[in-house]
This record gives sequence, structure tokens and C-alpha cells, in this order.
Amino acid sequence: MSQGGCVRCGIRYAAKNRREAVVRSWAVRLSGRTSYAHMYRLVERLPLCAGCLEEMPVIGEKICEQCGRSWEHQGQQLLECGALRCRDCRSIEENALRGNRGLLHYDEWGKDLLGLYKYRGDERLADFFGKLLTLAMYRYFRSGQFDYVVAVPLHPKRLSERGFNQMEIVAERIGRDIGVPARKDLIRTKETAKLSQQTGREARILSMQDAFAWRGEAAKPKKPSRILLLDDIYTTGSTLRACAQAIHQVETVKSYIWSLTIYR
Amino acid sequence: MREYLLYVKVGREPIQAYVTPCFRVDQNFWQEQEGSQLYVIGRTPSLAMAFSLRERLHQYLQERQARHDDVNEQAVARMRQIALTGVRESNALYGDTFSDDQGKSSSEWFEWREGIAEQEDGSSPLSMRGDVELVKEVLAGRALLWEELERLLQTHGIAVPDLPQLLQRLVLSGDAQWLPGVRLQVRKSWLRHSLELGCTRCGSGKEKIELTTCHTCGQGCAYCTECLGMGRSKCCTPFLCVPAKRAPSSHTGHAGRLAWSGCYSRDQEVAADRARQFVLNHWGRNAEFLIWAVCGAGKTELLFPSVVAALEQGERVLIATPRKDVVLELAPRIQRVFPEARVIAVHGSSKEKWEDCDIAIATTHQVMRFYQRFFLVVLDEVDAFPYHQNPVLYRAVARAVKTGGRLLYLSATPPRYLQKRLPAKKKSLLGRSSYALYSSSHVLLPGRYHGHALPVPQIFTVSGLDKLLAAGRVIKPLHDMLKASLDAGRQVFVFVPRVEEVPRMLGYLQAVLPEYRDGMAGVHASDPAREEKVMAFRDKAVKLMVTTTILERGVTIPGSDVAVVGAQAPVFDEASLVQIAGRVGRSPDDPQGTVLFVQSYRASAPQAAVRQITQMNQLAKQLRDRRKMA
Repeated sequence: MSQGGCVRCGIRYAAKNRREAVVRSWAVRLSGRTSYAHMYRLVERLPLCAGCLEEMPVIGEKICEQCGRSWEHQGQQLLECGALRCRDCRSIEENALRGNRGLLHYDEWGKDLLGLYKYRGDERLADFFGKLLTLAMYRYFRSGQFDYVVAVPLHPKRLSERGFNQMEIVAERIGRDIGVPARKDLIRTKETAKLSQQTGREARILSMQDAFAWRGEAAKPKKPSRILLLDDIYTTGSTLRACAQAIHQVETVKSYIWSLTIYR
Repeated sequence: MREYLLYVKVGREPIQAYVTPCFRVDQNFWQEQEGSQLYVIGRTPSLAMAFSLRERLHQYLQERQARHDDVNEQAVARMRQIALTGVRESNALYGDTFSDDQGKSSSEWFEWREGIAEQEDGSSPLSMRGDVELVKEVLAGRALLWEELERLLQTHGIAVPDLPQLLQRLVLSGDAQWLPGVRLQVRKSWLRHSLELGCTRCGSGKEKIELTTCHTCGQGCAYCTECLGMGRSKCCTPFLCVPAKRAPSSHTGHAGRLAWSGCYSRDQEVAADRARQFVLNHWGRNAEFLIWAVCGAGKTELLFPSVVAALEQGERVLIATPRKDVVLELAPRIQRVFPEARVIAVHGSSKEKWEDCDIAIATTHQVMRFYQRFFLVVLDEVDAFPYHQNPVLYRAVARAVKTGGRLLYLSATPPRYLQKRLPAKKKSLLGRSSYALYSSSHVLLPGRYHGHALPVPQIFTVSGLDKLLAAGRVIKPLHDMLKASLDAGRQVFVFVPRVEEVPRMLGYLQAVLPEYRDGMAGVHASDPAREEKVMAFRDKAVKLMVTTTILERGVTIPGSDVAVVGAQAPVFDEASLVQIAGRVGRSPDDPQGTVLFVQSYRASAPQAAVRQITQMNQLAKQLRDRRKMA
């Protein structure tokens, strides 16, 4: 990475001791499925200074088992009922997508960073988001759990406007990090308006129906594969469910699909 | 995907290579001029590639011309060969640079095909829908990336279905110029070849350019990270420059009326007049002029006569300053002084960004969007942040000046290379050099408008400064000075080098000066309450302000003193320290004050700053004495 220094506030992290302490505390908190040493390395390489690293809004332990949303944002009574799924997920019927996990809350901490990457086109941030998602992957899953990763595709028109697919670049980095191939099996067949320009949950879900398809030339899998879908943010989940559905349609046996997002 | 065609025109004029997005337009255009024959070399979706090849062809054509060789079929075949070689070399070099940090390689980064695309074979009629004159008028004096250009036309409600064709027509007739957003060139040397990249818009070099695989042009591409905030400047994005040909036609000549009741001091009057003479071009053929006036000399007022001179000729004026706050403060002030001129404030979130005007007040970054539009361009605070040690930015700014126009620099602490270029140093008989007060390319105003000398900073070296601060021990010179100032009811700026030190310093001062702890505050650039805090400081609700360099210029608080703690830090260079010292004693009611530099070891910058301030005081004194004699 050519920048050097913290991607969020731009300062070069001088206070090494303090950062070390913050990295350790994150490594302790996040090393559930993987060893402390491994998690330490994953946190340590994030290009963030001590202050920004400390404030990183990581989603806690108590999450909805379906969409990965934190209970803290839900109100207490749900927790007391002993429910495993959040209100939104309870209404979802059986779906090809097993579930979703996100690493960070979508708040002021990371909004600008994502905007800078996605809309301004600062591709140097791909490195940062790749590292974040690799960390998230090891927090929630094991490395042998998937055969390959797939990024949510952009519509060709949007792609040509933007010049790059923000998640494809990230997917390649993760693939390299965890040692599985990143594939581009999906295409977006329907052009949908920006999320912010759509109104309401239903409209969003409706607009996403059949928005994705299996890429014609990509070889159809012979045996059921285990796939990790990658996206930047999970809002209603309709994008990721539509992707999973598109993959599911070409596979004979029910495939094993999870999704992982940076923000939830 | 848009493709760019490279062809060579052989006619009466010097033989040249051209790049075009729509060959039909060129064919039509050259048909009107008899005797021109066009040879197609090839096409590529990368505009930067097309331009780099064009450079190569020009080189070859020049060599041929020197030998008085005719351009025949054989030469065209040779040129196709050159183009192919160029593409191959770029492919290899691009692959080398790119795969270093990406870990993959491919040999085909750039697409290159020979011949004309099928849809341009001449069977379909050439369509040129859209109003050329209107487009030309809207774009005049702008330098825009393709996306910005489309947006601009959209906001003006101009629908142009065949924009590329139309623009190419403008380019051929010499009214506009295409360039790639990021240019690409193979630089050859005996040791190794390398790929030269540079942003056409902001002038940044290779270190600011990132390589990428682009989905817009579907091949190797690069974008500039320096001016990313204004839209991506890429290899495949056209950057269109349209010079403003004539003065605004709607002009009435009254715009130059000055409604200003203030008056100048003797020195100010002389300086202002010299600047005006420069604008009126009574000083020879200079295109650049420096007004070097110490902090608190009244720089803005000095400009008025020059601005009047330009407006009276029916020309446009641009005042560029590095900060948005200054733009917002300056625009209404200028509008009041020039009631009949159209004044617009141009900054990132400004609504009147695209409007026509007589006087534009713009942030430096917005200036990059202008092209040969203004007769007079004033660069305020040339040494400040975006220009700081960044000579390429000057070039981007100088682009806004019309051919034959004037560029006026304004600074209290001009950067070294401007000091070298513009004012001539004068050597006295004793061999001591000092700056001349004026020359054909500069004027120096060493004294303040109220005629008092600049406060000279005191330097204290306190070894182990950081440790003393961390331990909360009293540092005598600093403590005495702060206490004396606060006891006298004055306000104090305390400058620290880094953001992290603002709260630390604040905590320290609150501990050692407990009686004033409620009147202290700290501020830094990304502080959400920054404006309120500065406001409170202006209103005297806050007596002591701990700050980073953000308050080093532009803030005037009467009756204030300054302390710099950690003056040895590299962020405080000579210019910065002179500016900081210049905060003190600006008002005529209270021209004195204390400036204290506390450093932990002996550094050169504080000393140099003191030297510069004393030198200015000496010059001012000489000037006063000379006038008394006369």
C-alpha cells in the first residue's frame, strides 16, 4: 500500500505501544474460531491508527443467527424471549442463502470510507476492505468451509460508469488471503436504482427479484459447492438472497451458501 | 466502449497525426480542405495510449521532415510499425509496474487494432445534432473531465445527442483541445525504460498515480489520487480544455466602479500602484508579479486598483485562495467594494460554481476547472497548504490565465523558488544582501499599514521539553509569558505541532494555570465544534486557545499574544512561523504584543523566521527614514 498511515484519519501511527494494546484487546475479543495468534496478525495488519482501531464499531457476540445483526440495536425484549432471529428475518421463508455475517455497524465511523472507495473511486482502499473482510471471515467461519468466493456483480452499465467493481477487487484479495479462488459466476441482468433512491423494504425486495443470473459461459458446477458471497453492506438482504437464488437455480443439489458483508 | 482513432493527415500544412473519437467528423472536415489525405494508423479504447502513440509519430514525422522525405505508403507502413512497437513496449512496462503490487501478470494490457471500425465505414450519415455555438459558449474558459462536462451541459439544460462529434469539430477548428485525464509515455534511457504517468488536470506525477484494470475502457488504466475528490481523472477519460476567446460580451464597463472609502498609507499606495502598472503592462513583458507584504499590511486592499484596471478593460478576474472559509469571507467583501460587478464564490459545494462572472473568488482546487478564462489571476497566500512545496499545482493554476494575461502572487512569506525568481536580491557594497523594495516583477511592503514594527519573537530552548510537559512541571518562560498576558486581559494562541498534542497541552495548561482553566479551549482541523470554538475565541469567551497550524493564517484577533510550544517540529517551517508571529499586533489600537517560540533543541526554522522578521523591520525603518529625509 502506497499511502502509509491510517486510512481513516491519515496520521502515521506514531504511538506504537498504545496501538499494540488495542490490537491485543481486539485479538482477544475476536479469536473465537481461530487462534489468538492468528487473529492478532489479522488485526495488526489493518491500516488503522490506535485511535481509529479502538473506535472500530465491531458487531458484538449476540447476533441474529440469520442475518448477523447485533441484538444491541434491537431492544431488550427480543433478547428476553430467547429468539434466535431478528424481527425481519422471522418473516423470511426458506431461502438458498443459509445466513449472513457482517463485521461492522454501518455508522459514521465507516460511512465515509465506503463512500470514498465506492463512489469517489479510491481503489487504494480495496486493500483495507480486503483485510477487514478476511478478518471477518476468520471470525465467523473456518478457512476450509468454502470452495470459492463470489462478489456481488454490478450491472454492466454501472460498471462502465464506475470503472471498477468494488467487491470484485476485494474478493480477489480475500481469495488470495484464505487460499480459495475468487470466481465471477454471476451477472446482474437488471439495472436497479441506488439503494438510497428506493423507498421502502418491499420496493427493494421486489426490484431485486431475478436481478441476477448465472454467467452463461461459466462452467456449471458438477457437485454441490460451498460458496461465500461477498458484498459491502447488508441492508434488507434482498441483494444477497437474489444472488443465492440465482446460484441455487443452476445447481442440482442444494448448495451451501453463506454471505459475508463489511457492514451490517 | 468509446474508441479513439489515430490517423495521419498529409496535406499542404505540416504533416500531423490526430486522435479522434469519430473519424467521420475528421473526414468531413478535411474534405473541405483540398489536398489533404488521411492515413489511418489504428484505434484503441485508451485515450492516453492514443496520445502517447501520437507523440511517437510526431517524432518520426519530424525526423522525416528534416530529411525532406515525402510521406508515402512506405512511410505509413513504418508508422503503423512504430505504433505497434509503442503498444508492445507500454504493455511490457505496464505489466512490470502493475504486477509488482498485484501479483498477477498479463501481456495484453492495451488493446490496439488497425483499420477503421465497421460502423464508421462511411455508409451511415454523419449526424451532428446539437447547438455548436451554445456548447462553445458554455464551455468557454473551462477545463473539464468528460463526466463534469456532461453534467455542466445538463445543468444548463442543453441536450446534445452527438456530443463527441460536436466536440471533435471544435477541436479540429482549433476552439478546443482534448487531452487524456492521465497521460502515459514510455521514457527510454540507456539503463532502463520506464512508464511516465502524470495527471493532466492537477499536474501530479507518477507517485500520485495508481494503476488499475478499468472496466470503462476494459484495459490497463491509471487514475490520479491527488485530485480524486473532484472526480476520477483516468487514462480513458477525456479532459477537454476550451479557451475563452473574447471578453464577456454582456459587459457594460461599469463593473470596474470601486465603492471603497478606505484610504491607503503612503507605502500601500505605492505598492498598489505598482501592481496596477503591472496589470496595465507598463512594465514590459512580465506575466508574473509578486506582492510581498508582511502580515497585517492590508494585502486585500492592495488588489483593488489592479482589479479595477482589469475590469475596465472588460476582462474577467479570478482571486484564488487555498481555503474555503476565506472564499466565503472574501466574496461578500469584494461584492461590497465592486457593487456593479458580478462576483461569484466558487468552492466545492457552491451553487453558483458554473455561472458567468466578472470576479470569481475560488478555492485552488476549483481553479483547476478553468482554462484560459481570466485576464488577471490573483493567487492569495501562495505558500499555504495546497501549493506548499508543490510547484506542479502552480502550473495547474496558471492554466486559468488567458494568453497574454497576468498572474499576481500575493504572500507574506513567499516560497523560496518564488523569492528567487521574482525579486532581485540587491547586494550592498559591504556584501550584505537584502531584498530590493521593488522591481519590474515584484513589490515588497515591509511595514504594516499602521506603521508600527512587527513584534519580534523570542526564542527559548528548553531541553527535555516533552518530558517536562508530560510531568506537568512548570516551564518558566512559557508560564511567565502566559500569566502576564492573561493577567493583562489579553488573549493567547498556543500553537502545538500535532493534533494529538492539543488535548495534552490543554490539560497541562489547565493544571499549571488553574485560575484561568475555564477560559481555555483546544481546536484542530477535524474538530466538529471547530467553528463555534473559533467564534467563542473571537468573542473573547475563550481567553486561551490551544491549536494546531489551522489558525496560523486568516484569523485576526486584536490584543492577542502567541506562544509556539515545540517550535522545532518540522510542521513549523519558516513561513509558518512568520505567519504565526504575524497574528500579533495587527490592530492599530494595539500594535505591540509578545511572540514566544519554545523549542526543545536548536532548530533552524525559528531562527530563520526571526531573521526574516527583523529584516522586514529594518527595511521598513529604512523606508520611513528615506521618506523623512525627502
